[in-house]
Amino acid sequence: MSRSSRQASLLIFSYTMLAVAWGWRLLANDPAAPKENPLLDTTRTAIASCLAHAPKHLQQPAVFQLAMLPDRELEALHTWQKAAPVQRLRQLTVQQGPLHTPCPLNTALLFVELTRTDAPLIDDSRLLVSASGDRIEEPYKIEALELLASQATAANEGTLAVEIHERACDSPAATWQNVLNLSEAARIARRPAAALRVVNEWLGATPPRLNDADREAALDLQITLLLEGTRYAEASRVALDSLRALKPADVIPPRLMQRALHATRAAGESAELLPWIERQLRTCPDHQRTLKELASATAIDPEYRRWLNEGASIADLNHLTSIACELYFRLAAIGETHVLARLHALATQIGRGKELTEVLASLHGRFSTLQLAQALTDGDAPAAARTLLATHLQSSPDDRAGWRLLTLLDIMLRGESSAPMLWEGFLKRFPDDVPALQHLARLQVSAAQPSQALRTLQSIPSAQLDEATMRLIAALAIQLDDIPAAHRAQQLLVQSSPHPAVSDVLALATTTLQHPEGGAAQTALTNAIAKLPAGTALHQSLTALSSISEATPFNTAAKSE
Amino acid sequence: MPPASLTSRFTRSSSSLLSKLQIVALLGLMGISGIASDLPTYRSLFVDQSLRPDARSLAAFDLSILNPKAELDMEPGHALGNNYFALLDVAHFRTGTRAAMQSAARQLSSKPSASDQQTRVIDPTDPQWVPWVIEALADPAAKKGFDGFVLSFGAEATTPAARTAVLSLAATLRQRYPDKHLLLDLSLGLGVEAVHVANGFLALGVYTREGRNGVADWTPIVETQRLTRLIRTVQMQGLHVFAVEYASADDRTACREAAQRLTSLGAVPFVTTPALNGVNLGPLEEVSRRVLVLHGWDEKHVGEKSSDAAATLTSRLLRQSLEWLGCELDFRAATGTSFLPADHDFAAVILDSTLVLSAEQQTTLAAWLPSLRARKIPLLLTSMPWTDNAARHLALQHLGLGGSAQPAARLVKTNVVAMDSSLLRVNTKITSRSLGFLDLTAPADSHIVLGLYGQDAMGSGHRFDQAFLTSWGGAWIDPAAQAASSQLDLPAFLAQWLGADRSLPVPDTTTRTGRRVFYSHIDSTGFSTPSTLPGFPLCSEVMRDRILGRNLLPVTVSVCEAEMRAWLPGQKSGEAARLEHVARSLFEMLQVQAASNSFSRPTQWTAGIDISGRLNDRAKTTRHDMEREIAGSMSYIHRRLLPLGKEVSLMLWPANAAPSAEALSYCRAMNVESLPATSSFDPISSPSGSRTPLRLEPLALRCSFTDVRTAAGLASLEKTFAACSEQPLHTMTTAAYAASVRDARHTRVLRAAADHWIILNAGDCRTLRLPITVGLPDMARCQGVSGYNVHQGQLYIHTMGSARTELVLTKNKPSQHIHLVECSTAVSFFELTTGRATFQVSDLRPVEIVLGGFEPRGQCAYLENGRPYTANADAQGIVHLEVACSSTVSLQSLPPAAHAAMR
Repeated sequence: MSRSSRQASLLIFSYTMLAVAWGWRLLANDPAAPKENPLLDTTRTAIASCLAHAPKHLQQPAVFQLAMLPDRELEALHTWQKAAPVQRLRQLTVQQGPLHTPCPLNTALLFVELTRTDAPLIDDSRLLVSASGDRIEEPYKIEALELLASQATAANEGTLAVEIHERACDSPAATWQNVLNLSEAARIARRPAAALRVVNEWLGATPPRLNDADREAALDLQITLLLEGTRYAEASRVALDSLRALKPADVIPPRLMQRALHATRAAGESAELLPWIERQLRTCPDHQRTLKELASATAIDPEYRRWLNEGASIADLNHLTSIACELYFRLAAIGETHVLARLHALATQIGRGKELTEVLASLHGRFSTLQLAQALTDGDAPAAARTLLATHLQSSPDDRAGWRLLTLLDIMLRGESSAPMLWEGFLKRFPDDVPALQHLARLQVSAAQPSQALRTLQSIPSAQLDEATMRLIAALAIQLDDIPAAHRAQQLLVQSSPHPAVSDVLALATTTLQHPEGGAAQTALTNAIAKLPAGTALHQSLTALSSISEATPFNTAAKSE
Repeated sequence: MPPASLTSRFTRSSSSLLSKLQIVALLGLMGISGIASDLPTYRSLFVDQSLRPDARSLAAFDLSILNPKAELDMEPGHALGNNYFALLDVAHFRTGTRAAMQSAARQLSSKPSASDQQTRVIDPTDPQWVPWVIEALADPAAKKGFDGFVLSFGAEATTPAARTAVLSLAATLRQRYPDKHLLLDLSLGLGVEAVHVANGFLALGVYTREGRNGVADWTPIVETQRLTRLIRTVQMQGLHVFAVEYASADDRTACREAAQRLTSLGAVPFVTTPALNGVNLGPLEEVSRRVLVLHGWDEKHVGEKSSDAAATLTSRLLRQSLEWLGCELDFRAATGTSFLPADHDFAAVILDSTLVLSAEQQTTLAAWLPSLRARKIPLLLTSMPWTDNAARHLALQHLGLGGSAQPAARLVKTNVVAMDSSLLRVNTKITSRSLGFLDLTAPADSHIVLGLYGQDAMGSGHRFDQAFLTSWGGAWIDPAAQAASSQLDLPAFLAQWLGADRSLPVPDTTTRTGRRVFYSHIDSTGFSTPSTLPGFPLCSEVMRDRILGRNLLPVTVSVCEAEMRAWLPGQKSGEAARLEHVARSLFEMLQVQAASNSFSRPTQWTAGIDISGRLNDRAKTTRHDMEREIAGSMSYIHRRLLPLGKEVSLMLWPANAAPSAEALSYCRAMNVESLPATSSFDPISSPSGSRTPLRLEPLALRCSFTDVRTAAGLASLEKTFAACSEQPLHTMTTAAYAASVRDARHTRVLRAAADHWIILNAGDCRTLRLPITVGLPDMARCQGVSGYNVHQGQLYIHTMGSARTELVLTKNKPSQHIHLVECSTAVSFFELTTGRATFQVSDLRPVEIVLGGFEPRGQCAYLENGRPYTANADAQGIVHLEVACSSTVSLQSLPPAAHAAMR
């Protein structure tokens, strides 16, 4: 072989080797496709699907973490999945778990585990969650504890729920809402003291943990919990101490006054609050006005009106007559007529009758005498009401409502036994008064005077008879065997209704049979039957009976012959 | 196993002597001795092969033989000393069942049944048969708690080999379950050879068997003779025989005869229907308390919906007296042609005055009358429902009534011509009214209570027997009754109408431990209303401080949730705290029980729609339905107002609306008692004119918070409470009273003998009443009876509240036995014998207790909470004690002091 051919062969060989080397190298550098592990895929899918049971705000970060999870942790999760529920929860909280903690996936899995049907006992779960340390972030730990507490409440484990809430509230990350939840659970479990302890802690925390609005709510809650725990005296003391802590020039906060009112009333110490109410009243401009000015005032501050009422009630309840009377005067002057009866009693008692007369006179511009008398009557002062009304009726003898009220007052004063006589007296003045007639008839029925009652009711014009009265007339007439009266009442009853009851028509048919004036009664019955649903067998039989009944006298005549 | 198959029997020849010897030898080898004497003495038998036997029926019987798959709680029965045996059909199994699978697993040989394709008949000679019976039948029954087994082959014939196998099975069962009893079906053909393995025999149909169409039929005489011979033979060996006979439920005489036949055989009898589904026909006869009230009309006939039961004359005027007489009213509207009940299981029938029937219905009703007469079921006419000529003619014929039974028109004169003043109200003027006057005369043998004569305008006279009693019942036709008060002494008249022989123990809710019951409740109306007293305290505060705070009588206080939360129109938000505080302080009182007066006092109680009353804008609730009104309000009271340990015990219906049937059943489903805020009895039905004063109602103090709005109202209520406190009453909570009313309705009464009764109930109603003429309880023979006393001619019997009470009466002087006469509160007895008693009482006030049965002028030595005391009995052997509020007392009857000294 020549030298050139040898060189050419060597060159070709060299390039071929180079190509092979490059080819091999390129092939070696191409990364091999990762070997798929179906077990891990299944685990990822299973975990992802169970994350749907986690709280929504935890789902997204947990799913992201799951997607990026290294195979090693995924394998650990696979093993973790197979463990018993208690073991799983333990690994998520207190033991070495499948994941690096704290992490969103671990937290989300914790919630999933807590809500499973085969979850460990609530008591065990809360111990594990409580002991989880920094493996669970504090807000999530509280959230998990609240979840467990709600489960305990649902399972009627009230005391356990309270304990879990207490644990949640002990956390520095607890919020006021957590305390409110504790209070609700404590109420259900009848353990207000547990909530009260926490509320007191929050109220006394340094630095303060509550903003102004929440602080007021906490103070309200404190009193409520004290009262629910039947610690009335303590509630009263707390509220009054708060009032005493105010400087003389301070304005009394309305909520504090409300709390104090509630607490002192429950403790039976409302008299203690009276000075504060008076102080509150003194701060109102309306309180500077005289009675006359008040009576003529066009607008009164509702708060002034409210505390005037409370003050008067408390003073009256505690037999502080002069204070009560003074406040009642002011109330009466501003048009609170419901106090008139008490005012009358107290003013008469302490010799302020003249002022009472003046106040009543001032009220005449705004209220009629009848209204004032009614107010006195409603307040259980019939004698005073009668005096007022009697004077009025001398000048207005035709005031029917006034006379009616006077009759009622006389009955109150003289007793129920005199009621018939008094109503008769009223009816002499107003003989057409239907309510009075009805009232009198009822009294006569009660007194076993059916004939008088029937006469009374029969004096009511037909047009003014209501159904109840018609039925009463029919019943009384039947009792007295007064067939025409019973028939008339039944007839009116049927006439008054476009679709009378079958029982009423049948009753009319029965009375018709005994009615001495057959013709007219029979016509009424025929008209009544016509109102019944046509085409029924009963309608037909009644119609037939009605036509036979018309011929009855002749039949009887034939029979007697 | 089809139950009916147990009754038809094949005649079997007796087994051979050889096989008997083999069996005896086998048993001898197994070392089993005679066991017949182990069986307790059962006095009553019950057989029920249904899957759900009635628990209350079971309580009545000492021994119940049941389907092994029956669903029941045996614990209450066991507490009463009752036993339950499982009837095991060891010859069959049904395909597709667990027993079938187990037979397949054991490769048990079986063949299809000729009568039922789904049933297979097993070969008992298969060696796997005994293990299969144990595994598939006996073990599950034993696990359920049955006290014994009954082995049966059902309708299958037995061979000597099969009988040998049964004995082998019995012996195995004895060994496996030595504490359980074993009976054999007499139709197996076994006799003396079973003496060592069985406690007795069950004979299903000795004289009767299941005939065609499932009715009872006579057993062939040869078979009867064979069975009776066999029964006598085994009885001679000391074995017990339990026998079942069949009869028709309608034929009371046949039932009695069947029971008598078995009793004369010496067997423990039970009479039932061939279906064996728990119908008890004897010898313990259940006395029906159901009174059928036919009322109303068919809508097609009248063109209007039938009136409610509450509008009937029976409901308004007769209900109270009938309930007092122990009747349970069953209202049935006359709708459709088949408006009459299929059975005759009722004590009486009332044709109400509201009954309006079509001609066809009238004929049906008239044709039904003889069946009532044949069964001696009394009928009461309160009107003449037959207007059709043909039907009326038929009815008059059946009832033996005279006259035309048509209205006598236009009477000019009426007068009373006959009356029995003993059944008329006293101090009542008896008047003859022309309204509703019928031309009607009572049958010849009748007892006329009120007879009228009327003359019409033409001078013709008519007779109207308005009220009478006769052989088929009676009539009280008074159209004026609803308008005016009744002229009759209704309790006396109705007692005679029901029949003088109807002296059965009646559950009584008016009396407890010998004293009139007192209960009290407060309607929530006016809770937040200011009173007119000084300082305008709320009515609820006045009620708390002036009434409840000063009395120890139990009071049930109801509150309305919307009012408590200040959600009613016109209420201010600040009120809620004060109102809730008052409510809490009320419920903290020991004598106060809590009730709901609904969420918003709705005006109707229809289910499925929004019913809540008006609320203000602050009301935070999404639901306004019936459930919210009842359960929601109770939940609120329980969670927000009640102290620990108390619960809402009652739904007190607001006065403004009657509860619907749905609302009532909803309360029942929640296991909450309910009561209307007002009395349910019409004032005109008041028995004030009754010849003998009767205790028809308990003393109920019903009030509302509004009652204390004024000083006068407060004084009146204070006076009422003080008066009640001074009276000798038995105080109980309203919920307990409501429970006793409900239980009284469901109480069942069985007659064991002429003076022997068995009473079944839930134990909430604890008083039985009888006329004193029936005698006195024989305390030594009674069970569950703590004592008795007599008041106004009525014997009140106090029970201990167990599910079964046995009452034995005697007309002779009963033997001396300590018993409770009366007590101011409930008494729990731990021991009650002839001369000793131990009991516990608990009340808020010192307890007054009266005991009888001591020696005349004898001594009563007692320990009250461990401290010894002595009391002396009076000449009647009665001792009066007053013990502390909560006491355990042990006492002993001692002879008079002089006798003791001599001794």
